[in-house]
Parts: sequence; C-alpha cells; structure tokens
Amino acid sequence: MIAQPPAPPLTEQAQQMEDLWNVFLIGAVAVGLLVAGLVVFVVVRGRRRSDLPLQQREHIPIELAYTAIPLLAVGALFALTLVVLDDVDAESAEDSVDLVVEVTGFQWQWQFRYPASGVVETGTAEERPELALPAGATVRFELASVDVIHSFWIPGFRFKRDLFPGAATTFQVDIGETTGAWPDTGVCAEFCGLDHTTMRFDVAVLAPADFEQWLIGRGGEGAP
Amino acid sequence: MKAEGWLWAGGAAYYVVLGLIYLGVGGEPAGLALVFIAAAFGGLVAGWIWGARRHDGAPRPKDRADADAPDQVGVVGVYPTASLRPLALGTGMTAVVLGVPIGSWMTIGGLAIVASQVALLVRDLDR
Amino acid sequence: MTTVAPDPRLVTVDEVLAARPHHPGGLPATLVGWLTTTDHKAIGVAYAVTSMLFLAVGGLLAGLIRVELARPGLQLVDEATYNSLFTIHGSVMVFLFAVPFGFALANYLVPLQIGAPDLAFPRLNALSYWLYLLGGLVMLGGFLTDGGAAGFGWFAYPPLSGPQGSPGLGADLWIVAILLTGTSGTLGAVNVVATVSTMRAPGMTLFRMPILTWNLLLTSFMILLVFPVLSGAMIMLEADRQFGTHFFDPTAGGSPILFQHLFWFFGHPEVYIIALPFFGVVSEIFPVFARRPIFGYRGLVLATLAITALSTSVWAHHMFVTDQVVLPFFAATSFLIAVPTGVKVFNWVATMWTGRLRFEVPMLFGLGFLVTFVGGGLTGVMLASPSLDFHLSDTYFVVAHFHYVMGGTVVFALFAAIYFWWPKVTGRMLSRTLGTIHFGLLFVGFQMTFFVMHALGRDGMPRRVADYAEVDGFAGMNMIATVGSGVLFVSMVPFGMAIVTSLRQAPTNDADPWAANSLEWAASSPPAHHNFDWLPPIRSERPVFDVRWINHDDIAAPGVAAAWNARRNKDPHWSPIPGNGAAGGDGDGDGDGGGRR
Repeated sequence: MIAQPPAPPLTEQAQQMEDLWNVFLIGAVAVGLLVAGLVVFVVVRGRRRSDLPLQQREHIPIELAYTAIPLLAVGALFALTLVVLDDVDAESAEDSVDLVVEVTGFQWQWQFRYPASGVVETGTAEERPELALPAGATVRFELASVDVIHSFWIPGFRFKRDLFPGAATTFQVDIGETTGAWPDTGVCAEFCGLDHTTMRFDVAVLAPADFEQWLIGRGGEGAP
Repeated sequence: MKAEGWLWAGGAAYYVVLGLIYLGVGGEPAGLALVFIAAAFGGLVAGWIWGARRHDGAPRPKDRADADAPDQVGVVGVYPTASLRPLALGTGMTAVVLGVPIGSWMTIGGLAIVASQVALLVRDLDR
Repeated sequence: MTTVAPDPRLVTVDEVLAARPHHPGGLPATLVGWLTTTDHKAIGVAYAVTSMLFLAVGGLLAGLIRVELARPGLQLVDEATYNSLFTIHGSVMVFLFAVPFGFALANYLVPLQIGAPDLAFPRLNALSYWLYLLGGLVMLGGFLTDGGAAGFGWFAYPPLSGPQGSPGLGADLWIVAILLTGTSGTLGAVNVVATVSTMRAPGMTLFRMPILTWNLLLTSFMILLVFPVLSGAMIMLEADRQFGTHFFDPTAGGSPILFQHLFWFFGHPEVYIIALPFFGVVSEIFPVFARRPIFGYRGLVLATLAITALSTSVWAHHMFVTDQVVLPFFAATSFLIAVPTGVKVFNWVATMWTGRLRFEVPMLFGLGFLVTFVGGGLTGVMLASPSLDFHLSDTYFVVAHFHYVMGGTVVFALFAAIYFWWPKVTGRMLSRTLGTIHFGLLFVGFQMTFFVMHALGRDGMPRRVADYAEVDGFAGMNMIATVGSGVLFVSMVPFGMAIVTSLRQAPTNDADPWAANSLEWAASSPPAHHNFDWLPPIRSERPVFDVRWINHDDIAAPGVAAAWNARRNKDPHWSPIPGNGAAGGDGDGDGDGGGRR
C-alpha cells in the first residue's frame, strides 16, 4: 500500500528494522490522533463559552505528567532502537562471513568486486551494474569512494551506508530466503554531483546454485 | 543581573557535563572541542556578570518585581538615529570577503572602506 | 474619602493613549532615509519585506523543481541546472528567508515587548541588515556566473564542494554569502542579548517577559554558539578552494567528516534557531485568542531552555549513515529533545483548554501550525532512531519531515505573526475574509504537497534527484505533490490582495485592536519615535491585559492596583486612567489623578 516499499525486506536485519518501523508508526499515529483530537476538542468546546474563562496559569501535576509520560515513551523507543541496532550494526570476524563484496563508488556509477571469485562488475553511464547476492548467506560489504561522498542504498535492505574517500566503511547483513530481481532499485543516496540521479544499480538475490552460475558467467571462479 | 548570570552559568555547566559524557562514550575530537569551548564561553560571560557586576549595589529597576516606570526617569541611553556608517561599513566588509574569490583588488578596496568607516564611527562616538 | 462602587468597566489602551500627547511615529519616507535608518522598527520591516522577497525566490525555485519532478524524464532543465535549483532553494529558504524573518520579529518586537526605545546597538543593527541583503545578493549572483549558481546541496559537503568537486565561481559566491549572512546573524544575536539583559522596563523581570522575547533571547544564545562554527567551516572550505589548504581533502591528510561535524554542530541548532521565534509567536497568539494566560509559563521557559541545550547536543544524527559517529549518544539526545517539544505542544493545547476561542486569522494560522508541526515532530522521533534512519536518511521521508516542521513554523506561524502584528506596524487591519481564504488554500496545498513525500521516501526515492525511473512507481505521488505546490502558489494570491487592499485603506491607528496582552500593544500603532513615553505597570507577562482589567482585582495581576495607586502618589503623570476605577484615574482629564470626589 502507500507505505509498502517496492522490495520486501531482503535481509534479516531489514525485517527487524521493518518491524521496528511498524511499532514507531503505530505510536506516531496514536500520538498524532491524540493531539488532533485534543485540538478538535478545544476548538469545538471553545466556541460555546462566554465571558472571560478561568484564568488558570499552571497545574504542576498535569505538567509533570505530560513531561514524564513522553519521557518514558521515548525511553522505550530508544531501548527498542538499541536492540535492533545491536543486530544491524554487528559484524563478525573476517573469516566467518560467507561472502565479501567490495563496493566502490565513483562519479557517477558503482563497481562491485567479489574478491573471493575475482568477479568485477562495473557500471557505466549507459549500463547499470548488477549486484547479485546469494540467498541465506552472511555478506559483508566494504565500501569506499574514489572521489566525493556517495551512499549505497538498497531499499530492500532498509539500510544505506555512506562511502567516503580515504576511509572505508563496512556493514554486514544476513540475506533472507526471498529470491528475485529488483532492477534499477539500488541508488546513490548522498548527493554527489552532476549525474547523481542516474547512479543506480540492479539488485538480485539468487538461490546459491544460481549465484554460482552468475559468478561463473561473469568470468569468476565460482563461490568459495 | 543575577538571573542572567545563572542562565549563562547553567549553560556552561550543561556543556561541561555533556562534554564529559561525550568523552566517556568515545566522542570524536571536533565535537569534544566544540562542546568544551561552548562551556568556556558560557563560563566567560557568567564570570563577567558575577565578577564585574558584583559591586553594582541595589538591584536594577528591571530586576525588581515591585519597580515601576516612575523609578526610572531620565536618560536611558544614547540611540543614534540616522547614520550612513552601517551601509558603508557593510559594503566594505562585503568587498573584503568577496575579493577572496574575485580578486585581491576588491579585498584591498574593501579594507580601505572598512578602515575609513571604523575611523568615522570612532569619531562619531567622541561627539 | 467616600467609598466608590467598583467600576466594572474594561479600560482600553487607546483611551489611555488618547489622553496623552501624541508623537506620531513612522517609517522612513525617502530612499536616503531607508539607507541610513537605525530605527529598529524600520530595520524590522526591512528584514520582513526582504525575507518575503527571498521567499518568493525560493518558492519559484521550488516550483521549478516540482514541475521537473511531476513526471519521469527530464522535461524542464538539465541536471546541472537542477542541482543549482535545489541547492539555492534550500539555501535561500534557510539563510535568506527563515532566519532573517526571525530577526524581523526580534528587531521589531523585542524593544516593544520589554519597554525599550530601541535595540542596544542601533548602528550595529543596521549593519546586520545590510550584510544580510548584500550576502543574499551575492548568493543569487551565482546564477549570473558561467558555471551557474552553487550546485552542491545546501550542506556543501566536501569533497564535492572542494576545488576539484565544484570549480566554479558560483560555489565561492555561495560561501561568501554564508560568511556575510552568518556575520549578520551573529551581530544581531549580540544585539538581542544585550538589549534583553540591559534595557528592560522597570518591573519587567526576566520571568515577566513575554514568551516570544524569551524565545528570541534563547535563539540568540544558540546563534552566538553556532554561527561562528559555520563561519569557521566556511573559511576552511574557502581556504581549501582558494589558498591550497587541505582541511577537507582526504588525499592530503584532510577529513571530509570533519566538515560534517562542524556543519551539523551549526546545522541542527540552525533549525531550532528558525523554529524557536515561531514557537514564541504562537505563545503570544493562543492566549490572546483563547482569552486565557499562557499555560505553564515557567514550564515553557524550562522547556525552551532544554530545547536550546539539547539542540546543540544532537548534531550527528544527520550523520548516522556515515558509520563514524557514536550512535547511542546522539540517538539518546535526539529522542530526548522530543520531550520538551511535546511539553510545549501540551502547554499550548492547555492554554486553549477552557478558553473562549476567537477564530480570527492569526488563530487559524496558529492552529494550522499546531497540527502541521506535530506531524513533523512525530516523524522526527522516527528519524531519531538510527535503526530507522538507516533506511530513511537522505530520502524524501526526510524532505517531508523537515518541510512539516519548517512548514508548521516558518509558514503557518509566520503568517500568524504577519496577520497579528500587521495592525501594530501599519495601523490598519488585514482582511479577515482574504486571510481565511489564504489559510484554507495554504493548509490544503501544504498537506497535498508534502504528505506523499513520506511514502516516496519509504518507497525508495532518494533526495536531490532530478528524475526517477518509470519502474519506481513514484510518478503518481510526485504529480500529487506538484499539484499541491500549485495550490500553495495560488494561496499567496489572497495574501497579496489582503496586503494591497489594507495599505490602500486609511489607517485606523488602534493601539490594541485584538484586545491583546503584551507591552507592544500599549504603544501607538504605528509606535511613536522611540516607542514609549508612557508605560503601564508591569506585574505579569500581560501588562496590557492588566490595564484592561484594572478595575477587577481578581483578574488583573496582583500588585497592579497597588502600582497604580503608588503612581498617583508619586507622580500623577504616570497614572491617567479614565473613569472612576478603584485604582484611581484621571476621568476629567485635568491631570490631577484620582476618581470623582
């Protein structure tokens, strides 16, 4: 529907972040309706009074209540955030991930290197590169830019990470079991100059056997 | 001035605490510097208020809850009316900065304008 | 002395002022007058008019953006031009419209609200205005250069904004403009703090100042803290561009992320610098049109202090996706800032709670602010969570969020301020019919334009793109947003008509047409030269309300009646109250004070 992105959550982390979003959304709608309701109430009630209303200047207990309750609410949201963040930001030791992908951003396309198999997928102004990933695998991404700041965003990951010149950034995901192709959905999400708009790539999640074929088809040595 | 002193001191204290927390969670040098400098500047103003204004005597009418207009009659201050200095000085300052990309001739010209306007302002003050 | 029956009459400021000699005030009448004025009222009007002109420029740029984005494909402009369009749109709106309008309010109203004849440093004040205007013109001058205006986004991140990333002169002009407007703001803040600290009227303690003045004071604290940081970052950037330094050049030991820390240490407080004056505006308007005092004055001051402090503690929430900041710290402070903001919202609702509401145009816009701003605040809480921000950062969801919070404040509350204080500035009213139409169109247009952007961002549309693909499915929502922006443009027509027709009327010069509360309504409309030669006693944050209810001891602030009596005893010149009120008056106008005896 209106809040459903084109790609379903493609990683376990994405699913967690999606679930967290639903919690926040419900909370936001509830508070929004409460405030809207209060405004409607005061507007409707305010029309029928006459003379000078009670000139009340403060009511400490109520004021403390509407300080404390929001404080508890954001405290709870913060706690939930940290729980999810723990999984999203986690990175395991180098040798326990299934796949490493090196992402290089340049003005104005992407290069994906699969060091274990030697595949290099480079985008051009005419042709988008494809980022293929094996379902069910733990993948670490290592990102760097050769010029300005870019940002690697796959909406299906519910996640993006900036690419900096001179300093690598990393993140790790556990790909889910949903396979499919989402062409033209990977985008650059940090304004990087003239053709920032067209710095896009294709995303595909393939069953492990298909992923092998994909690598071999691009001149690689197959998955390790 | 007491209330103002507390505002500034409170601000300074807040930044000291914030800076220590940020340091404790592994904050980066730029942020730490900015926060501690904020504390220092707040402390500077609070210190001036408390130090320099300590000997001021009776509270000012503006700080007294029971004061009223008749308590403060007389000359409140000097408020210069029309003056060309601001426009001229602003133009000079603009030229100084704009000359950095445009050319040093503009910066030099701007400095000349700024210097002359400052001199005129000082002369105005002496009147 | 005989006992006099209590007089239930309400006293108007106009009656009091009518009994006094009138010193007409007014804005400069000649060009030279405007070029040399140091009067805070003239400068306030100059800031307001100039910022509204820049609003038109920023709005035009937004219109071009919306026309381009309505359908997939590049129809209107090429990418390079588009990049300048959104860069200058954002820069104009933030630096040349929103903050300067706040200074318009501060300039015009702070002296009037605290009973001062002008700001503390009138010539410095004028200098601030000229630096603003000149800086704005320099920024727009970028469009006249070969390479076009700056096109690196209003944050100007290096290396994109560095010498290799953006080699054109337009970029340097933008940086120069930021330095000039930043200096303008810093000097203005100095003026406001000095004025509020040293020029309040007798009896106007800090805790009797109107909330608007409090907010302008705390806005100035923030400006003093963060504008110089921006200026420093800009000087470093310009040095990289012109003098061969490498502050932000990673190939030579520099650090792009350093720029981001410096920029956002300024950039986040900047949005509160923009918002706080408008929180103050509605804190003046709700009490007047609900006929109740502002609810929880001390709580509001504390909340504003908390917002001021916290807003300078959250900056790296704009950098969550860089993988280089302490996520829990900034998430915590960002969540926390929602609490005092919520307190303010509840205080405003409570002000109206058992109020008798008058739905004049300022009140309509105040209600529009409340609803819109809360919407933006709720999405802000979502963005405070890095776990959600990883998906939402740098997308149209953020664009929606900040337009909602900025829209609530700098659009709705701004028009509330204009309709509310117009009679004080000009001595005339703005048409209620036209104002109501203006409000209706603005509200509808605003929601239509920006609500869909939440979904666009969630669905995958990043910021600052000139185009999107058919496959994205973004076209429908983009078209809705574009049509909405058309309604926004149309909404300015009744506003323009209201301004023109009002200025063509003869002035009525009512000092207090709204039956309002704070001290500016005790000055004539427009205020006389140097504002006041007579002040009511100040025993609460509502001195004019206290004058109006002077004959009702249970309603006016405690101590007001005693102050009047003390005036009669000390100097009858200060106590001309018509009628025979218990507090004494000068009903027969012979200057001798006292009731009928």
